[in-house]
Amino acid sequence: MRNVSKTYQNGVNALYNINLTIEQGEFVYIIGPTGSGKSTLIKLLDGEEIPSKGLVEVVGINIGKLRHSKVPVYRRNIGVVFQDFKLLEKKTVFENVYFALEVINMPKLKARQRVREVLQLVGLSEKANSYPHELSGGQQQRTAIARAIANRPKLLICDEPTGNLDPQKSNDIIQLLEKINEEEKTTILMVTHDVNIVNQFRRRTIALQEGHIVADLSEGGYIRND
Amino acid sequence: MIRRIGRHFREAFHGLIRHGAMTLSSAAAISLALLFVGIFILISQNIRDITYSIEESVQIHVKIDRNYETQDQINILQIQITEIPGIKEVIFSSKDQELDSLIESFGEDGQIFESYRGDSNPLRHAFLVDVIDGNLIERVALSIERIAGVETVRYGGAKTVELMNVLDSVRNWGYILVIGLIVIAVFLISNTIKLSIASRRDEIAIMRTVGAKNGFIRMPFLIEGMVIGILGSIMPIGITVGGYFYLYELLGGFLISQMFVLHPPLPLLYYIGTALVILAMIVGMMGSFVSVTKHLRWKR
Ligand SMILES: Nc1ncnc2c1ncn2[C@@H]1O[C@H](COP(=O)(O)OP(=O)(O)OP(=O)(O)O)[C@@H](O)[C@H]1O
Ligand SMILES: [Mg+2]
Repeated sequence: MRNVSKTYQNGVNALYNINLTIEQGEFVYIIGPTGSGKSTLIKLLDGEEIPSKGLVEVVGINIGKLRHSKVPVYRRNIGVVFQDFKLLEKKTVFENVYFALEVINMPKLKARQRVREVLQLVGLSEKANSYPHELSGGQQQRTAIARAIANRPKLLICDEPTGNLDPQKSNDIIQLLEKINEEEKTTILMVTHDVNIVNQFRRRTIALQEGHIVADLSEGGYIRND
Repeated sequence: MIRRIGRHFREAFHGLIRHGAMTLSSAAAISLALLFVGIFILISQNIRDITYSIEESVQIHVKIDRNYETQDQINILQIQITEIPGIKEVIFSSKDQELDSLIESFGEDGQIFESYRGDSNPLRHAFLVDVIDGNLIERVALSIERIAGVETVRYGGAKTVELMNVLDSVRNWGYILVIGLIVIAVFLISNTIKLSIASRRDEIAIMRTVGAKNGFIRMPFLIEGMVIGILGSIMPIGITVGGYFYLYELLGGFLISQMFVLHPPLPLLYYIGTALVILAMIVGMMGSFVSVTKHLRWKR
């Protein structure tokens, strides 16, 4: 990301002149108070918004210049996990994950094989035929993670994945993400409010405030100053 | 995309059933529109036939004065008539040919006129004049009447011309009605599909995040629209095909008098049936295309 600014159409300046490079395989936290531009940063990365100024480049693709018709194929390079899981209630765990592969036209057998693989990875093989409402929050979030990584994205973006979970479950999720980071070599970008996590699982931490990067600590850790 | 065609159909039928009432009401809208389209095609096909036969009979008959019977005079007259604006064709008909058509018009009994053949023929040479447009007939007839050497001018009469005008405006209003109904049907279908989209908003959002192409997301909805169209075409096809067959039998192939021959039902009804199904599918897909495309438009 170079010299990136984002001004929304209503005149809100969400990001100012952001310069940021994340290497393939890194695990990065992004923290900052509400309204600091974290979600905006994610939207710039997944192609939902285009930068008002500057260059956003992911896996060698200039996202601001990406034609609309090319966005879907580009998105297969990134997985996204949300705070509220966004699972389909009428589908089982297996079907939820399978759905993500089905809709990008992965051949059936290959897709089923891969679903079993990722469910194994997130530790939900036993729950494959359960419906989301039969699962705990942590299990639901692991299903969402499985869905996000099913297509082997190079970058996994997590927008407050632990926002709805208690501390123990949150820790499990972080450990899972670290495992994915190691085993699948996926770059992980995790947005969070949770200072405890950042301090406990030390990783590169980027702090945003009012659209500016105010800290970029490669050893991790963050001192609360608000 | 084709590989998942089974999935697309499955999803489409889920949508159709989930919004059964909406499906039926928009299919009914298509039915109504198509019913009018079908009736309209039948009527306009028959109007075309009738107009054609009227236009055949709407011809100006110009008798040539007995003092203008030399070949030169006839040629000059022909040129003068041809120069009048609105003329399609001027055909010369000699006394002999006039007698032929007289005999013919009397049918069996006509033979008694045979004795007039030759020098005793009391008829005049004549021109048979066709005009480009039935509406011009009166004006053209007046112009011809003023030419020196023309004895009398006769033509089919204002009634026929009037009838043609009425038929023309029936057809034009028919077009407007049909187009209006189709627009309404597209609108209703797009509303049904909008509902279907709303109930799948979560799915669509996920498809977008994981990188499904718009064409893929759109497909079940297009199928849904198409099926609504096909459902909607059953009733109007039944009514137009059955109704026209029935009417044709009932009237014995004629309308009012022998003068208006009804268009034979086959193969016309095959064409109409096919046209209605295709039109219905197009209308259905158009309606859903409008909605899905609107929903999937990138807002960045
Ligand atoms: N679609 C939008 N249109 C206009 N303004 C927006 C839009 N999205 C975000 N903003 C504004 O941009 C600024 C940054 O918002 P953003 O959502 O990036 O913050 P955030 O760091 O994700 O906050 P939170 O922690 O609450 O999720 C805010 O002032 C917000 O009001
Ligand atoms: Mg946010």
